[in-house]
Amino acid sequence: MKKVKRILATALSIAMLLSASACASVDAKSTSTSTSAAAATEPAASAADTTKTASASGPIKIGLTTVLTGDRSLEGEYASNAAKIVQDEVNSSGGVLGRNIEIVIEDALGTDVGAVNAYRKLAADKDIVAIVGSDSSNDNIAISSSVQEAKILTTGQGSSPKLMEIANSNPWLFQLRASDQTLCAALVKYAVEEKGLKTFAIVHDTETASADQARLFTEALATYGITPSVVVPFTSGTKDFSSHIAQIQNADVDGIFAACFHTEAAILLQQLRALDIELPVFGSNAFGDPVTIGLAGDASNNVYSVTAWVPNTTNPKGAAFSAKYTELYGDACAKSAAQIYDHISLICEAIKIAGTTDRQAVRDAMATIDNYQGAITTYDCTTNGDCGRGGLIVQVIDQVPTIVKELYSEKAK
Amino acid sequence: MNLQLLISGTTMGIVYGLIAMGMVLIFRSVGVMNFAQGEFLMVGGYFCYTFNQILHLPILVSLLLASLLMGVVGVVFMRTSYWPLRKAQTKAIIVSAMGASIALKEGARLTWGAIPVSVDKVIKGTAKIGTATVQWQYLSIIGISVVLMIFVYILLEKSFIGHIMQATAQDQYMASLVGIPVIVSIGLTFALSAIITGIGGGLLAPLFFLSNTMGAASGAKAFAAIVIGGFGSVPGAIVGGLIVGLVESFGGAYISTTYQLVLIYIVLVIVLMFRPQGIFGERIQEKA
Repeated sequence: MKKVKRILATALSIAMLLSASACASVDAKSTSTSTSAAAATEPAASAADTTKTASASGPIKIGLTTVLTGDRSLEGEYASNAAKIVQDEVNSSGGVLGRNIEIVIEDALGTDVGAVNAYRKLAADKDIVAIVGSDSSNDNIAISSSVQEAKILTTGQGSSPKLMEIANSNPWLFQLRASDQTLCAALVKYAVEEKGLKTFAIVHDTETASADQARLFTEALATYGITPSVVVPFTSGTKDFSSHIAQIQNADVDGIFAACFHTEAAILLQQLRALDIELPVFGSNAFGDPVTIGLAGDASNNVYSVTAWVPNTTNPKGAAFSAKYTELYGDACAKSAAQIYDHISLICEAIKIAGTTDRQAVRDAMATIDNYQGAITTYDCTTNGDCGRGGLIVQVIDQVPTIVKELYSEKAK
Repeated sequence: MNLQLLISGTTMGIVYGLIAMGMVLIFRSVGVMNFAQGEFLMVGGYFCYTFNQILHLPILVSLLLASLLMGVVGVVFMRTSYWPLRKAQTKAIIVSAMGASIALKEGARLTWGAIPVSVDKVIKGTAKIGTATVQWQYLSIIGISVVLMIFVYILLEKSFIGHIMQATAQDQYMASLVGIPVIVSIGLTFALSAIITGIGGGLLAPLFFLSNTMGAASGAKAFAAIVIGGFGSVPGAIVGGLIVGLVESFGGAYISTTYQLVLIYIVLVIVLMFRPQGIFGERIQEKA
């Protein structure tokens, strides 16, 4: 028995030594790789590090982190469908640099930890040229240090001003969306100047993006000397808004600003209208989304929303994509799908301009893109934050989001 | 305003009470808390959606068919998640239920997709009660839930099957010695639990919409209802559910809308401090 133990101990020790030496050689390789990658981040980039260059043959891989399971899996469904459409479209028209593209999807699980793990898994694959982050400012902020570490072009779908700030200081992260700073101010301007309303309630989800939007509404109102009469927060997943609506009723306001996601938006609207509260609601982008409108039904009528996208867009590229999405999947095309289409298209454009799949070169090429017409809006990537230049104020009429104002703004700083 | 809050609080409380009642039935039967109970609510709702929106059947027929299917789900759940582990430690059964909860959640997403859906209301429109405007669906939920609770009471207290289920819940070994088929009895309990919770899902769907993650929050509040009402007590589960619903409603309006769940758990802690066995629970003390 003692002899067996001795043999086992020796075998385990040899195994440990072998794995330790293997790790050391990988570390040495990584060190040398990251060193040359660091050198390559100088504005005048030197020759590409071959260990970070994707294979010269085979498809060009683009990573996508999205929420496939968990609370926000709605986003993942739209994103996966859109990824298939854009992949097929690009490949059927000859691909990029003569090669097909392949979208590699990882599940961000709807949490910031999940987003970071998914991102790191994709970034570790040397064949992946660029990555699209999930549709959440929280997630994009969470991955930002990993983006800096991995040195791979990453596009963020979030719209928060905090993300804009981070993107502007991270050369590898691009916020391909109009910042909420621009959009929320535009909606407040519309409510005060064009609708002539004077007193408001703000009702918002306490999760980061919605809470940020509520703050932006408050700041924008302050420029008109208006303080919200009541601010009513609620936690994600709230079903019964009786207490919240009671507070709004007591405040006796002209209008309501609201910021939350689809399900809560639809429930809130239904419960407001069921209580015969016909106040105009000025909502974040979820309020103009087909999912919310479908759930809320007639309760969504005469709701205003500031958004980047509507399925019945007048943008020809967007309209074509929207029609294709509906034809293939039966549902109206939501913002989450249109965003993926634009993000991947922009990355392909950057690869074409770079003429190579070298990560540094692709990143540098992205930064030269100005005035790119996407399905949603025009993009200006010459600075990293607030790259989407346009937005829409829509009014829901007969359950159809109707554009009442098109926005085009200078980049927020 | 107070009447409005009372009605909405009562409606939500009754639904939590239904879920809690389902959990108590299983707890009394096998001595383990079922952490997949919230998912029964969700699956029942989705079955109702399938019959009502995809097959275009009337809502009451859809609720009935969904409840029959939920009975089957309850039995399958019992056979797969509890029965193989019935002689194992309690924690193994709890973990198994948690695993089943995840499987049900993701299975629902794969089957019905991630986009929230709804079903028809039992009665459309609103009613005026004093100064309050109430959706008829809220009143339908209260009415149907009360009928269900009476049915469960009659079943358990007045019927032969109910006596068998109660006997099995009290002592499985003795029940088997007197010829009661224990596996059938436990299966019936799980089926009943799944049915009453599943019907709750179908009733809630037009108000709060169906998504595969809707079960978790409801399950947490139902658990609080059980603790407040007293572990193992069916009337306790109902009263506990009402307390949770009313605290949520009035607490949100008068104290804080952000911390409604915190308020519920503060009430839970206070109840535990002064009456650890819950309102209807029996105090069990060990003799020295």
